[in-house]
Formats: sequence, C-alpha cells, structure tokens
Amino acid sequence: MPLDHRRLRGPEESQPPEVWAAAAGAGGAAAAEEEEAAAAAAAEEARDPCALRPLFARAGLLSQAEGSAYVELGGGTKVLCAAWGPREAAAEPGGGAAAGGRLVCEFRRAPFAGRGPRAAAGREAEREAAAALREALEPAVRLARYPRARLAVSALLLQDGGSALAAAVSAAALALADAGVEMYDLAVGCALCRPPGAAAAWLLQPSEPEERRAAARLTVALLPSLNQVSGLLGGGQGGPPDSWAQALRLGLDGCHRLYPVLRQSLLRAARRRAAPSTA
Amino acid sequence: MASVVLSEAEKLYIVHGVQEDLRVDGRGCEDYRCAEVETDVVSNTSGSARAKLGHTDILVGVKAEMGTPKLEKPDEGYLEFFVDCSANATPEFEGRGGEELGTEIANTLYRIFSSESCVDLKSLCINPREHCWVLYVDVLLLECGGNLFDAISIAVKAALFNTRIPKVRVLEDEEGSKEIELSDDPYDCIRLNVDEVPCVVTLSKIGYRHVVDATLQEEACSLASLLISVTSKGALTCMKKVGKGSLDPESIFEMMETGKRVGKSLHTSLQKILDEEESLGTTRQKVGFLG
Amino acid sequence: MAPPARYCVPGERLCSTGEASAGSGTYTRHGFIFASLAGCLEKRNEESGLPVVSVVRDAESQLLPDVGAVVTCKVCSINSRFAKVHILYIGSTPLKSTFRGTIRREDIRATEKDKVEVYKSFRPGDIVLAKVISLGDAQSNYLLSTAENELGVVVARSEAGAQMVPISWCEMQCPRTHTKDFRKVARVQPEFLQT
Repeated sequence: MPLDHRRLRGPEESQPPEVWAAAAGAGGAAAAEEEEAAAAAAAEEARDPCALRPLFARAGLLSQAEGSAYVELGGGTKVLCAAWGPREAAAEPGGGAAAGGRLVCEFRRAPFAGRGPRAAAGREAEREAAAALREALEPAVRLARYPRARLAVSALLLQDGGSALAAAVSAAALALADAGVEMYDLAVGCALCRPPGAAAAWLLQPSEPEERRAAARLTVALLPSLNQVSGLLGGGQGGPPDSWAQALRLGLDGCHRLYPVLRQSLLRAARRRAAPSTA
Repeated sequence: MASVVLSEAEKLYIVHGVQEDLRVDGRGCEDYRCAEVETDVVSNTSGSARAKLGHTDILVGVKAEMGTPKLEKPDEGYLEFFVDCSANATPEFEGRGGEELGTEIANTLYRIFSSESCVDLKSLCINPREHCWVLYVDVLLLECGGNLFDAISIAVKAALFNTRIPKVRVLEDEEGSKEIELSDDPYDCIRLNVDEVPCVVTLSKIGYRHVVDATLQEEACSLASLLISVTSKGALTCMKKVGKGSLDPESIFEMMETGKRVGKSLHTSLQKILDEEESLGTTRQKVGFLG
Repeated sequence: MAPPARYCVPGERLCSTGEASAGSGTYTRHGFIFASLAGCLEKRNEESGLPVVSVVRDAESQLLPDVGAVVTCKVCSINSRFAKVHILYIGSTPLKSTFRGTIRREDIRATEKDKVEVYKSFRPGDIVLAKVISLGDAQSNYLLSTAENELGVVVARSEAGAQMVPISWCEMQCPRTHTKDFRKVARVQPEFLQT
C-alpha cells in the first residue's frame, strides 16, 4: 500500500522526553539528576586524565571504495570512512585552484548516531565538521601531485560516543592512505575536554557524557612523523593560555600514543593488498 | 575570499620583511592597522556598529526579537549570527559565491560565543520556557582587506555594547494567562555587559614568525594561521587553525602567548573608544559608514 | 626479492638522501627520504650512483594525465574547431575514471595546420593515441595533440560497422565495402602492439 510520506502523522515539533523529565518531577528527578552528576564526578575522580580509550582501527574493508577505514573508540564512537582517488574536477566557478588538486571532505552523522531524538537538524554542524576535517587533512596530502583533480573523503559517524571528530580525522587519513593517495604523513586526531570547575584537569578522549558536561573542548590533529599540528579546533569557557597550552601538549602526546595503532592497521591492510599477488 | 596575485619576488620581500620585524606598511609583527570604530550607525536596529581595519570594513546590526527559549536552556535567551558577504566586497561573492565563507564565519562566531560567560544570556529571558529575547547579529562585509575575523569580532563587540533592548514586564492575571507589557519610556532599556565578550586575534604564520592583523598580501604569503578569541582578562575561549598548512607545536604556544598579549591591549583600546563615544552622547558627530 | 618485504606507511622515514635517491612514492625533506604511500619498500640498485628507493603498491596506482604523457582516448564529439575526447589510458595503464580532453584543429597534425579539417581527421567513436600538451586552465580541460607520426587514429569503424584498415597516413579503408575514409592515422609503434 502506498504510504503518504508528505503528510506528517505526528506533532509538528517533537521533543525528547529527557528535557521534561527533569522539570516535571521536581523532587525525584532532580535528586536523581544530582545523583547522576555526583556519580559522574566520582567517575571523573577515578579516571586517569591521560588514559586513552582503546582504539580499534582497520583499513581497507569496503570493497567498492578505493580506500576505506573503520575506527572505533572504546565507549562507542564508530566512524566509517571511504576515500576516492583522483577524479576529474568539475569546472569550478572560482577557477584559481589549477595549481594543485582539491580535497573534498564530507562528514555525516547517521540519524541515530547521537543520544536523544533522531537528529535531522545537524546539517550545519556537519558542514562545520567537514570543514574542520578538510583543514586537518589538507596539510597531510600531497595535493600538488594531483593537478586539476579532486580527491574525495567521506566520513560517516555511525555512533557518537564522544571524540567523534578526532576519530573521523584518524579514519579519514587511514582511508586516504589506503586509497593510495600520496601523502606527507598520516593525520592522527585526538580530543580533549575540561569538566566545569576552576581546578579541573583536561581529560583525554572524553566519552559522550563527559563531552556533554564539559566547559571546554578541544580537538587536535597531528602529523606525527613531521611533528606538525595540522588541525586545531576548540572552544569553551575561557581559560588562561597556559591551560590551553597544557591541553595541547596532552593532546599531542595522545596523538603520538595513538599513532602506532593506526600505523599497524595500515601496514596490515597494505600487506593484505599485496598478498594475493605475491603468495 | 578576496584574492590577490603575488609574484614569487613579492612574496619573498614580504617574508623577509616579517623576519626583520618590519612589514610592508611599516608595522611591526604585533601591531594592528589603524582601526576605526563607530557605534549606532543604523537607526533601525537595536544596536549597530561599524569597524574599519585598514581596507576591511564591517557593518554589524543587532536586532532584538522575541522568541521562545531553546528547550535545553529554558531560562536563557540566545544569539543568532548571520554573515552576508555582499558582492560589494569582491565580485567573487556575487550570487552564492560568498555563502561558504559566510557560513564559515558564522560557525566561528557561534563557537566563540559558545562559552557561557561571554554574554549574560539569562538577562535575555523574559519568562522561562515561553519568551526570551533573541539577538539577531547580522554581519555585513562591505570591504575585504584581510583579517576579516578580527574586524568582525571588534564590530560585533561594539554592536553588542551599543545594543539597547526595551524593558518588558510580564503581567499575570487571576486565570494565569500572561500578558507582556512594553515599557513606555524609550530610554528604559537593558544594556548588555560586554566585558566578557571576546575579540578574535588571528595570527598568521609567515616564514618562521607570526604576525597579527595580516593584510591581503600577507595572507597570501601565509599557509596557516591560528585564530584565537581572547577576553579582556586574557582568557582564551576559542582556538582554531585555519588555512592549508600545518603549524609546529612550539610556534602554537608562542602564538597563544602573543595572542593573549595583543588581545588584552586590543580590548583596552576598544573599551576606551566605546566609552568615549558613549560619553559624547548625541553631540557626537557621525561619520557614517564608508566615510 | 628478499622474502621479508618491508612495508611502510606515509610519513615513515626511509633513509637519508646520502644513501639513496628518491624514487616514486617518496618525498624528501630536510635531507631524508620519506614514504608518501602505504606499500612495499623497494630498493633498486642503479649501475651508476645511488640506489633508488621507492614505495610501490601493486594495486593499480593513482595516475593522472601529465604533460608529455601519451594517452589513449576515445573521440566523443567533433565540430569544426576541435574534437572532444575521453582519456581512457595513460601509457598502458587504464584509468579508473575517464578524464575529458580536447584536440584542437591546429594540434591535429604538424604540417599544413591551416588546411586541417577535423571531420577528415577524426570521427566520434575512434580510438586515438595522443600526447598531453597542457593541463588546460580553469575553463578548458586537458589539451591533447596528435601532431606526430606515431599519434592519431589507431582503431576506427566504417559506416558498415567493420574495423577499417589504414592504407596511408591520411586514409583508411573498410574491408567490407572498400569505401575510403579520411583519418589522421597513427603509425603504431611495434612496442604498443601487445595483442
């Protein structure tokens, strides 16, 4: 039976029940919330701020894409990335970019990626993330080798468990390398956040609840062998530059520690690619 | 963005000049160009300002409108940013050409103002869950001469300083229905506290050094720049790398220190100008934009 | 080849430029050679001078038409000023996606350029060997030339549908109907004849 998709069978605006839960049961819910906050604070106490979440990376798993990678962080962030090698660039209105190639990045959140209601309004945030992704990857790719061509990367966030953009940067770099695109270096992403409170320390690779409550967030992308920062995006409650500098140092250290995992997965993919012909 | 064509020799000249702390227009690496700020330039707004930084000219209008608070924050108003890259600035902005840059700038502004302490959003609430003030901040680029972000943030701060929101009272009758009453006195209005509103300082890496307030020519020589927003107390609220290149960690630390120093003095001089303008009141001679 | 092949990832430092010279899939920076591809490391000894270090992927590499490359293309449309083609191969490597190119009238042959007529040189559907002379600017795409004896039409079909046989540098004949057609015929070099 054909469905009438244009007619909405529901209220025009739907709201997540969590918003109302807190206000409705002023006593019980508020207490529960407080308890939750206290529990979170206790967990924070217990958490080592320098601890990295376990990272799983695998390159070269999509059969149709030229290069692909999947990165999962312990705690539920799952990003799938696909990359396509040089293609003919469509005529640009601006022209100008004849000297080198263009890197086109896309970042998408699956509609069910986040907690709460099914988000369709994330378009603006997606575009910002895509721009940040491009900025983090551009210095890593040898675009001068691809005159008049277009390289495409698309990242799909399957589940947002915190540090999503950082995971996307790592996955996209892996996918590009897996596609055989010439690069100066891999890019490794790492996220940090600082919980509210004056003396709070920066936490490496925050989980989604930590990220939601955070007063400040920062995502760093590093080219580890060249020791160059390719991406930096952060904001939040003002802190003195020293605090941010400390965060940056911690983030860079995190990137350096993540790098071997990514490198291993890429080597494994390269071996797998080579295996059919040599063995 | 508006682009200039530079030959290799011209680039080398600029890079070498920066190395010697002497820029093409005679400034040092940490000097701003001469800035002009004027508030209350458009009468149909709640607050407006125009900032001119060298050849960069920005007009900002703030309109306060009533809206419903966001669900997550029922007792706060909010700010909306729109950036219009008009074709006056450069022909590339014609049609949809400036859209991408416009959204990028707007996103950056949202990020800068995401910190809770920037503007007291609670004062914009009229009654929780139902009514609040929404400040629409419209940014118009009249001329692009490099360093857009800094000029925009100066203009936005000045416009917010200038913003006057009429006072309203909520009257509740016996049945519980609410009525909003606007104050009769046009001078009875809320002013925003802009002490904590940050300014953006963009540091462009040229050669081995970094400069603030780069001109278009200098921007063409720079592969990567660091954009940081600094409050008047020297706290950083936003940090972002822009451009195609990468930065090495040591220079980022240096840039943050420079940014803080420069940002603080920028705030001091801006506040001085704003207070001066305020004290002149209606006797002030208006220059008008592009004047 | 030594059995434990070394694999590397982009950004890995391979050796200093004093020990070897950089081959494909590598770049040099601060006097060192770095890998720029994920693949297998290969060191080839040259008779003279330093060995060449390169990183190879045996999967098809990501090629782009470059100035001076000989490409195989298919004519998709012609008019009195130029022929539009799709580039299918670079040398003997097939491309994953086609690139559009243009052969202008004055680039069809080397002599008597003013007397050239496009429709007497190419027809849509012809397979042509050509050389890339420019990457073009913002508006145009790759510019190709067939102004050499070895470049031009290699495969063409007659109106009857049979594959035509070249009879001179400017004519081809249909083996079925014996009608003659004008083409800018390539003298195909023996090294390109594989099948």
